[in-house]
Amino acid sequence: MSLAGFLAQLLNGVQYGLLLFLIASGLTLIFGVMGIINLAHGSLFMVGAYVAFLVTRSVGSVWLALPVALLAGAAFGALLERGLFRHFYKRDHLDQVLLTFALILLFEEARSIFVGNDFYSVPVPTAFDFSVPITAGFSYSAYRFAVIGVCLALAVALFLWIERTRMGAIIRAAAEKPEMVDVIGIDARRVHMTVFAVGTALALTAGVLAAPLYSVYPGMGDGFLIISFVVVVIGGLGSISGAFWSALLIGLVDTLGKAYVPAVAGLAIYVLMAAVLLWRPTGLFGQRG
Amino acid sequence: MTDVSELPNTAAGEEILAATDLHAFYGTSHILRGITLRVRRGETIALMGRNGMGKSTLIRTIMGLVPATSGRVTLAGIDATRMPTFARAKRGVAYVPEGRGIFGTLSVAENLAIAARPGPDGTTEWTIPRVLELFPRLAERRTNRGDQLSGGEQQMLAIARALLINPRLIILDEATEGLAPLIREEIWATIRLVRASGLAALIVDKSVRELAHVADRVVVLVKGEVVHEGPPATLLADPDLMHRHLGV
Repeated sequence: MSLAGFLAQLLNGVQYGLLLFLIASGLTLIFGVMGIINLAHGSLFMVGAYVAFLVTRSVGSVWLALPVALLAGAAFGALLERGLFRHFYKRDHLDQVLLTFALILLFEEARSIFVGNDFYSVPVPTAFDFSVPITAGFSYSAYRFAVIGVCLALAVALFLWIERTRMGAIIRAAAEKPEMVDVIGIDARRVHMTVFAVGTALALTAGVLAAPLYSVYPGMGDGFLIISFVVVVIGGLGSISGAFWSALLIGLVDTLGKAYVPAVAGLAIYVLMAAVLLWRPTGLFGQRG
Repeated sequence: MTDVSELPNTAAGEEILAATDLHAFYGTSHILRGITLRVRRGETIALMGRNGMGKSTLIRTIMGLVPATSGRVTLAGIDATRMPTFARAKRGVAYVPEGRGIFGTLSVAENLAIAARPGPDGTTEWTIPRVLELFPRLAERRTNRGDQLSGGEQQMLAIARALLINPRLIILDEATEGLAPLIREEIWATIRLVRASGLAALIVDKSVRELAHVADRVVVLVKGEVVHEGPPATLLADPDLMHRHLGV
């Protein structure tokens, strides 16, 4: 086991974890405020990856896909909330699960019709298509550094928005006592649309960033969705900071596990989840009681 | 240009709340059975009745949190029967629920900041500095989370938050429940002060005598119907009425 190899895996783990955070933060936010478990959240990630593929194919650079994913993602999320999800908050969980499962099928079908079922690779943007020398014998992908940078910037922005702004305080209030938000004269429907818009934009952005690393392929959202659920559960349902630390933990455990103990790596994160749930049933950062 | 003070629905003595023949259900049980209740500008109404007689349901129906199956709710002359809750709040009805309803995960400052808004006539009589002046204890605890406050402080926060929407009417459901005698007296002093400021109030409270002393009018509910309405003196002078309907 070389030190350089270990460092590379460490950075890979951080990068993977931060990408998971972009997906998991939307998932946990939407669950925390609206109580909906959005199974289609992984499909939104896939949509982002295909946006990256299509934008790169027509314009030649994946960077343009980032603002597209953020803006179009927010608009699309708001539209989904307004048109579909809003009508399901008061329905029972089975109806909600069926709705979001149906959306997975719709997104996959739409992908199949408009782009097809082939695997496509998305080139790393040329400006970042080099390696950054770290030590004499070790260098690391500039694009992966860029992904880490973008994810960290978004994480900080999200944290400041939730913890330091009036809208963030309203979102936390809505997650705690939805009825009282309306009682003090705030239209909770607008809060819900905002949360959905932000969650969707983050999932699409994660998809764009992931496309050059993992290629784009049918059903690519499923694996990320399941791991993101593990992140959300370990972090504590509804907790943004919980999702952040939990995503880093999962990213590292999964990446280092696959590198050094491949025989059991597939199981490692689920064992970790079970252990955390036994020790703290509300997750590492969840509200107790 | 229209002078706001000349608009008919803001005239003094005008009804700021009119509930007419309200019916509401909780599941299959018929809780409100044709209640009519009017509150005029600046008036303090004591809503009385034993547990389970429909007081809280009436309030929640007025706020739009429980749907009225028939009847009408009018706020300052505007039909609000189908208005969502937030729109009723914006039309000047503040509600302090039983259990206070403060946001425990938010700081005191945040609890206040997200509620502060001009009232329906654009008035900003109540501001954050002014409510902090009214409740100096909250000023000291600005950075504390809501769930770190004592019961009395939470109640003060709930009332402060309600005042910050600059309402025409404040509804208080069991505002002194579970508080130490000294704190209760502080809450009653606040209620008297709010009353003196000209704000109308609809109050539910177990302390019948204190409540009767601040009220202009008493409304007694039995099984979802108004069985008595009149000045507090009439109620206090009628031990039979007090005993039969209030158990006092």
